[in-house]
Amino acid sequence: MTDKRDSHFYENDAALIDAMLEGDSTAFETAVALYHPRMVTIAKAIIGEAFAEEIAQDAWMSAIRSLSEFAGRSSLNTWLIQITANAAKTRLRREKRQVSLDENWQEKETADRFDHTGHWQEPVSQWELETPEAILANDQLSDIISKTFEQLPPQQQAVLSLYDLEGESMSEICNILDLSASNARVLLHRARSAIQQKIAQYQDND
Amino acid sequence: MLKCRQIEQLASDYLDKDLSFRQRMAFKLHLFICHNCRNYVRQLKITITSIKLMPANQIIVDDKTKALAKVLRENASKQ
Repeated sequence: MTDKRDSHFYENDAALIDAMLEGDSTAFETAVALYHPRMVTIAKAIIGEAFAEEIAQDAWMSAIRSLSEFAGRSSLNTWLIQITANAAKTRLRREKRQVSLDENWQEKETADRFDHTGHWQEPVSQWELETPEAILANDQLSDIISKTFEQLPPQQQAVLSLYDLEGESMSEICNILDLSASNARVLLHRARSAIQQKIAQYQDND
Repeated sequence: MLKCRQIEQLASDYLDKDLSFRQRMAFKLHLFICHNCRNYVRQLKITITSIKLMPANQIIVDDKTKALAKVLRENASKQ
């Protein structure tokens, strides 16, 4: 059975943690619903799909063990992401494997947008819905944005999520995901561009 | 002179104010003469703000979430 709940049911991190320490099942469910998908995204970005779920679950176990010591120096979200990232990096070293992520993804699509002289193949039009509010008020477009976000390759999704949704600094993102600054910026742009292209397709066809 | 392809590649850096002064000037000069790139940069800017404003007021608590939450709660209570 699936329930939808208000993400702000607990006023802040401290209230959520207190409820978890008291063994409140709603608090555990809220924390998992809020943070587990983000933790899986981070794990996927570092080690790939195969181990991501397991890493995220192990990270939860570590977090629960030290929950009472969580001092609130960072947000609960940042703390959980750091535990997950560290677990994924440790596992990656142990597996001694190179994870192939994002390669060639979207390159063809991007390449096709320009001619051999580097100019746009097709004219770029002004959007009819040209404010973020108008876009998000359109159910289909809002759905397109969410679906495209969910389908992004793991590293792109992680960088976009950390930078645009959670407001982390680029240096912190590079640290969490073990990326160079130039790689992180390319991934961020590819992710944004993928969503922009989907919105453009919808607006051009409408 | 930057090409449209380069404008596309640098657009996020431009909007995040992550270009050097020289690159920024070259970027702006291209935008001044190219309406396709002006439209593209505007589209990207709207996209970024839309992403940032995506509503996250609701969370989904499905069976998988409940199962993991139960395991975690049981583990916490053993400590």
